Amino acid sequence: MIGKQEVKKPLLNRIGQRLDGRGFTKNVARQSFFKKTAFGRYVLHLAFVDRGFHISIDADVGLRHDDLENLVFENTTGLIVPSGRKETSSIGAGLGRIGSPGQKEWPIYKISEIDRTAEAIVQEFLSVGIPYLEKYSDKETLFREFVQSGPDARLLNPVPLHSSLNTIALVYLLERTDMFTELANRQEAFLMPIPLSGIEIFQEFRTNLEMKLGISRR
Amino acid sequence: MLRESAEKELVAAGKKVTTLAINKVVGRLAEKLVERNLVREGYEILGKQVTAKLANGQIRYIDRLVRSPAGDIMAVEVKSGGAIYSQSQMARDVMIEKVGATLGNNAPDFLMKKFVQLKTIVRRVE
Repeated sequence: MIGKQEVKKPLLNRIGQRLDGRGFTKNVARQSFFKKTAFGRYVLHLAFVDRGFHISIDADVGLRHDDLENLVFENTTGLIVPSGRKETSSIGAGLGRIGSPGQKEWPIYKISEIDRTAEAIVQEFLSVGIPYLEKYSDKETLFREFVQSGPDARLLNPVPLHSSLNTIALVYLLERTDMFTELANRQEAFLMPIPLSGIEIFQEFRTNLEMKLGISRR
Repeated sequence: MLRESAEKELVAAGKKVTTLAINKVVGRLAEKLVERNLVREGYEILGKQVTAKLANGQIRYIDRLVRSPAGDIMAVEVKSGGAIYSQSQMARDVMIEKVGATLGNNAPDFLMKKFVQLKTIVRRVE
């Protein structure tokens, strides 16, 4: 039997060594690696899951667009805690979901398996994680994906509220004012039947953006 | 059934077969079983053993954070054998549903530090 604490630091260290030359810095408390970019940051995040006899590792990536996150923070109430306002990501997905449908996890039964696991996670990150992050670094591409996949753009953000907020935030940031009402209506209709969707947060955000854009609803 | 498997695995691993050790392994095996069933039913597993910080500073560990086929984000509490869904767990879950909580470690990065309101469903494994 192996414990989370026996695995956590050594695994993060091994991955950190492999990502060092690529501009990523390790944050043990967040179980993450961050890379600052001109527009925000890239994140590789690990989750340590106790399976009883072994620890399994889940890995996901996150991408932060500073302007998008700031816009959401400044125009919503209670979605992002003030202390965490600079730490949130705009989109993200599990590494297993990006490469293929379904989940992927890396089991560790023995300490001696840590090095091999670190290598496997880094390889997966470089082959599917980095291309995903690079693709959606471009807000135009991100916006197109949100619009084409519809309100439920699950590979970008599986949480309906966040997906909806991102869509209309991008309309605003990319100055596609002509599309605002249609897309906002579509997102609102999508959130409406979902229990605890946080639709009131979306409505508050929508109203604030409409005021900024000078759009009036009758 | 799960208890027998847990005992066998503890013996095979050369570990002490105590009630505490059995319960821990049974709990983890039950989580895995529930996870498989949830995926089969069309749920998407967003996080496992996720930390949620309540407004009063208390911490609740969410066994599985899922997205239901209908699109709502939910917490799943796994109970095995005779394990009780305690009053204190229930009170925290009501708080997460009515007031909300901030997600921390083991939540996927896109949910980290975000405030969410979640309904908790309890899944039992006998």
